[in-house]
Amino acid sequence: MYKLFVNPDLFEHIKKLGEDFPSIINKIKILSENPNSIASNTEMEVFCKYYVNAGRHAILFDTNDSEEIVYIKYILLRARLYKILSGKLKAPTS
Amino acid sequence: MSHTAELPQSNHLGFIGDYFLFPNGYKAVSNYKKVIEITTDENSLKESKKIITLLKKEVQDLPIKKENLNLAELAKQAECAKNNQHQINKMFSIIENLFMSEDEVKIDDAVMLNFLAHMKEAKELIDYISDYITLVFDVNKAETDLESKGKAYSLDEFLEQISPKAA
Repeated sequence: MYKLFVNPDLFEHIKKLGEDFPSIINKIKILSENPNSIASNTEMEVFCKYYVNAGRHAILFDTNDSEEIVYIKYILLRARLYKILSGKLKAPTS
Repeated sequence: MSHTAELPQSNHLGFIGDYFLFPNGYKAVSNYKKVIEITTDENSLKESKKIITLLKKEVQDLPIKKENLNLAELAKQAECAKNNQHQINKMFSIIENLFMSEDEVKIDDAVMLNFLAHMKEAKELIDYISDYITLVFDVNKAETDLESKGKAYSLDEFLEQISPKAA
């Protein structure tokens, strides 16, 4: 099982979202079991390497397979992720 | 119940679109540094329009494109939305088109939508709009230092803290 790495702000955000959107929690469970089975490549590694759709939202994450950690970086509405991936919106860069 | 809008100054930080419901009033975070406290008659659209005007003055302009939005129409719809799933669905479509049709959305219009939704206690709308607004700022914030601020959870720990029911 992979560990889930989240910053406190995002953790609180997930907690709030999870009450109304259980699909997010369900996908996070699968991420912990086998993130590579559901990961889609963003082709925008400077932003975030992978994403997975979870109902109305998308979970953006990176992985460290050797240490078995999933870094959950953002939860976005799919419409907004689409705009970022299509270049209509500027993505944040690290 | 008071109908005047009071504008106390405060150093409270929050995200635009965050709303805190208090008895007989709402606090709207209009920019990152100011909280506006508004007392209002929930059933009075006339009062809400007055307050929207005040809100407009207080919301900081951000460098984003204008979006034409028929607020009067949406106010009417918000009024019906509280108990009417069909109306709520219609609002969702309007809002989704709003956010999809332009590269960016005029943020004070989005704030006002959120305010209207709160006014009419349309919970689904509140959550939906707040999600969009908050996430605009989450995505455009500077990247936080994950490694110093974040924490690694096992799945069980994660679920237990997110929601004991989910665990």
